[in-house]
Order: sequence, then structure tokens, then C-alpha cells
Amino acid sequence: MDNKRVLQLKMTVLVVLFLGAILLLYLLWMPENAELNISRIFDFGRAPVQTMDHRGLLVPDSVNISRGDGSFTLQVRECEKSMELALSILKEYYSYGFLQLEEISREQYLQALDGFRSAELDFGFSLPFGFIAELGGFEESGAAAELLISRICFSSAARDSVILVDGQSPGFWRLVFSGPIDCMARFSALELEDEPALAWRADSMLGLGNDELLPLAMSSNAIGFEIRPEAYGDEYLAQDMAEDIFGDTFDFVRRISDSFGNVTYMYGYGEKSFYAGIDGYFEYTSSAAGSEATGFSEDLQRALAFIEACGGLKKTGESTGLRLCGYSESGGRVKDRTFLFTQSFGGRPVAVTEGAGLKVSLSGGSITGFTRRLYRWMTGLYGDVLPCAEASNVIASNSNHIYNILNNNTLAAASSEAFEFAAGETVSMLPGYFADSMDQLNPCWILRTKDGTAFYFDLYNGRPLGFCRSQL
Amino acid sequence: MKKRLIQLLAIIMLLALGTCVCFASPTVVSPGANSVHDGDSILVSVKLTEKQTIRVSVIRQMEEVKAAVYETTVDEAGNEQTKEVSPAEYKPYDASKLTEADVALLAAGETKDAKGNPIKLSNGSAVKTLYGETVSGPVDYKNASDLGFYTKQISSLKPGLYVIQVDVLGKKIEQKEGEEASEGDYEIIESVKSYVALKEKPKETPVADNGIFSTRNTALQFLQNLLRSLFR
Repeated sequence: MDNKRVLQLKMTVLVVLFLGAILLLYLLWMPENAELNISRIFDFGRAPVQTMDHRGLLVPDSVNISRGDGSFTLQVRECEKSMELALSILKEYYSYGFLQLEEISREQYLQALDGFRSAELDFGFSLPFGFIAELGGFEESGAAAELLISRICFSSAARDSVILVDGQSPGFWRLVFSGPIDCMARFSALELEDEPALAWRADSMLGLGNDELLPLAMSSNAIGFEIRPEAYGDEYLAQDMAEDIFGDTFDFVRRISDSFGNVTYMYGYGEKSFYAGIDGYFEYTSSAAGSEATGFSEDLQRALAFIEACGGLKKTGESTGLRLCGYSESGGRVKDRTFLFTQSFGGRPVAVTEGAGLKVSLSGGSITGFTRRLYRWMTGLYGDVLPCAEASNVIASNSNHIYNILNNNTLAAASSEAFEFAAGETVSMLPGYFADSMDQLNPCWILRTKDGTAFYFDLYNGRPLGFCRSQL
Repeated sequence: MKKRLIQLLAIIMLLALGTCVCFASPTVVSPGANSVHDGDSILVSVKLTEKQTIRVSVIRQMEEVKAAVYETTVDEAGNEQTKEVSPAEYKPYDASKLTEADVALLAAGETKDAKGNPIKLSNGSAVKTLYGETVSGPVDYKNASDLGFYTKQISSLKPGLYVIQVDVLGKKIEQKEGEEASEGDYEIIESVKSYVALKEKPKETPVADNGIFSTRNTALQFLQNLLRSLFR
């Protein structure tokens, strides 16, 4: 063996030893809970993140199908199929030709829904109809585009019309088209794997003047299971997010950490600040508002781009993508907008202690606020099918709890007074999941009230798990 | 002394009266009392304001078509013995023309007024004595809290007159030796009834005929749309 070869061999051994030393040092000093990530040692760049498309973001909370005799079926899973069908029907209506938009009364809306076969897609929050037109690929540039709506209804009472509802204001409109479509035949033909639950109006069930829908007896195979905050085992996530947020100015950012391990990054005198909690909660605030007159879709794209740039969404196991679950806007030409997003599991939304897992606020097109608490889980669990606590009894047994929280009152009210109040304030009651502070994902009832407060009750015994005031 | 005794008695009477008033009857929230519905399903919702057990039955009202025929014979010992030759025949009561006022008259159960004249319904027919046939239940439901609801949807019902009967169950009646346990082995403290007429659902009519969306002033509507478009 000549000297050159020996030298090459020595060099190779040295390189291997050097790399081995780096690896051993990393393994020695890495945090106890951290996962081994080779890309961190040899910085190949960021791990790939899930690309976010706004098309799959909008899924109804429930699809309410009426038989025309006062009874409804409530579809809470596989709502994507109904959404696709609704968009295709709307596109077909617009291809026939749009005739007029007229305002209708609440009574007319209820008559068309309850007295006839009908289908209602309830999003649970209001958003511009123009965005739905964009999703459906049809053009709506008239007055209807700017209407904020939370429900789209098709009724056999008027086969040439679509009813739009803003549940928050509230307001009711009817879009009239040139041609009729038998929408209900198409909704009936929709093949669903899950048996929908039965539902009736709250005034029929509870005897009080509230015409929102409440589910009747339901059964479920959902059970609680352990989950992990997204930052678990990834001690670099917070710093990566901070670097992404502050960009070139990151070198001028102050890093303040407390004894628990929570870190606050601050730029200037607090113009921009980013908080990263060890429990997986992140919050960013900025006082730099923009002055652009942006539209809904543009702001939504910017919000999604911000989420993607700051941590993104790591697709792991059964944790699914995001859903838009709340929206608010204010201002004139230059608008302030807030978007809420939630994770979902098994087609049901996952609520966290703050309410929605992700919140992005924009002012004049610039990001002014961002909160994030997301979870990941590899495999979701299901158990035996068990009867759920009845919605009417959950409200009845927790009426004092609801009354006290909504009125900021610690004194117990008379049970009848508290019940009438709680039943009257209820806007919706649907099954979902609640991620508690012990990192447990619990199946729950999500009860929403008129002021936007969400209450979470155990799905099977109806006991309170938590509540969250409106984030908008 | 006598005055004091009267005062004490009055207080005891009041307390006793108070405990009597405390007993709360269940309320049938749905279907509404003496109501008329279109379709084949109803929601039964019963509100309970105290811890109690109820038994809920849905009973279809029938009218007698043919009375039972009995034959009386006298045996050798001279005792009279009555034997049913043919049973009574019933048919479901026709509720297709009933109004809410008619249902209220039928619920009252009186066939004649104070003067002895037959009570008549809005279509001119007389109020008849009706017989019940249970179509759903009886179902026992135990309410374990101070406020609770029993709710159930009853589907695939045929048109007719129905009674929702809610019995408040008391203590269990002890069985005598040799007797088999039956569903009626509880003392019934109170019964609440609610009548509902179920009619066949009319065929859906097109928008121009169903009267929900009356034609509005199109010029006004056009102006509204124009203004909305301008100021959006």
C-alpha cells in the first residue's frame, strides 16, 4: 500500500471520527424529550411542511336536512361531501342566470325550511358570500358578494331560489335564479357512511322561544386519548418561528426567558413581540398596521402564508388539516380582519383552552396578531358505541353554570330563571373534541351562545370541561 | 293562649299546604296540547322539575265500529253465565278534518253538554267515546336531577288521533305469592295526557302557489340591490 492510499484512509477515518463526535455530542446534550433529527445536525434546511390550500378550509359545522314535518337529521361528519354538492348546485344556478336578490323575513325562512324538504349548510360563523362564489368557481360580483352569511339553504318550497342567512346579525336573503333545480333529490342521493343524528327546534324540545336546532339522542364511539403539543420534542420550533417572524431584524431582537422556560422575543420597545410558552402556546403581536384596502381572499391568503412561514403545519399521523372556524371584520375601505382556524379529528373540530387553535389578525393587509396552540397525535382512538348525554339534559343540568359565566355572576340564580336564560342563549350544540391542559383530547359537546362563548361538556356524562369566551 | 294556639295551627297548616304544592307534575312540552301536525313523526318531550320516574306511552285513538256481542246462558244450578260471542271491532279515528278546537273537545272526553245534547265537532259530527291502542311504549324514564327532559322522536306513525300519556310512578307494588311481575307493578301517582292529531303531509307545491315568498315590489327591490352594489 503506497503512502497516498494510507493518507486517504487516515483522512477518511478522521472525517468519520469527527462526524461521530458531533453526533455523540448532540445525543449527549439534546433535551430528554427531543426526537433525533438528523436534519438539525447537518442543517439540510427545514422539514417539509403541509402546503395550505384555502379550498379545503371551509367545511360546514353541520348539514341539517329537513323532512318537512318539523324533524331534521343533523349531519356532523362527512360534511365535505355536502359542501361540494352545494357548490356544484350554486354553480349550476348561476349558469342559468341570476335574477334578483330579495330580503326575506325570519318567518319565511323558517317556513321554507321546516314545512318543506330542505337542506341547510351551517358554517357556525359569518363570511362573505363572494368567497363561497370563489370556491365554487362561479362569478358573483353583485350585491350578494358582500353579504356576510353563515348558512346556505336549499328548499323545495322554492326550487328556483337559494336562501342565505347571517345568523349573527341576523339577516335573511333569497337569491332568485332563472331555472329550477331539484336540490333535495341530489342531497337525498348523497351516500354517507355515518347515520346522521335526529334534531328538532329547541322550542319544540325545551318549550322556550328559541328556534335553533338541537340534536336528539345520539350515540358515538369517540373516546379520549393522549395528545402532544406540536412543540413537544422540537426545541427549535420556537426559535425557528421567531426567526421567521422577525426576519432580518432577528439579530436586534431581545430574548427574555423566565425560570419555567417560557421565552419572549421583543423587537424595539415592544413594537413586535413573540411569546413562546413551554406548553406549546405561541403568541405574536405587532403594532405596525398596514394601509392597504385588501379583500377577504387576499387577507386569507396572507394569513395562510404567515402560518405556513411560521411553523407551518406538520402533517403527522391522523392529525388533519385546518378548518376555518371564525371570522370577523371591521372598518371601512381599509379593513381589520381576524381569522380563526381549528384542527379536526374524525370530521369533528378540536377546540383548545383558548377556543380555536390558530388565530390570525390583520389590519390593512398586515399581520398584527397571531396565536397558536396546535397538537399532534399519531393514532386516534375509538371505543364501543355508547349513548351520548342528551342535549336537552346537558343544558338543563348545566344551566346555572352557563348563567353564571355569561352574567359574570357567582351567585346562584333560581333554577327556572337560569334554565330559561341558558336555553334562550344557545345557538348550537354539536359534538367535537376538547384538548384540555393535561394534553388529553376529550370527546365533548360544544355549546355556543349568542355572544360567541363556547362551553365544552363531556359527551357522555354532560359534566363541564371548560369554556371559552369569543375570540373575535 | 287560645290565640297563640290558633297561630301555631295556622303555621302548621301553611307548612303542610306548602309540602303539597311542592309536588310538581310533568309537563308535556311537545307535542303541544291539542295540536294538529302534518307528517308521520312527532317529538315527545316531557319536562320534569323534580326527581321522579315516569312511564311514557303513545296511544292511538280508535272508534268502535261494531259492539261486542255477548250471550247469556243459565246453567243447571240456575246461575247466569255471560260469554262473548264476537269481539268488538275498532278502526282508527279519522283525524283528517280535525281542528285544534276539535282536538280539545275530544280531549275533554265529554260526549254530551250540560243540557244532554250531543257535543259536535266543527264538521258537524258528534264527539264519540274513543278507545286506546298503544303504539309506542310504555317506556320508563328516571329523572335524577331537579330539572330534566325525556325526549324521543316517534316515527312512521299513521294519520290519526294520538294521546301522549305520562304516568308518574310511585312505590313498587308488592307482588303476591304466585303472581308474575308485570309492567304495571308500580303505584301511579298522577297521569298527564296530551292529545295530538296527525294528518297526512300535503304534497309540496311550487313556489308560486305555496304563498311563502309573495311577489314583492320589484322596483323597490331593484333600487335596494342597486344601492347595495353602489355602497359595498
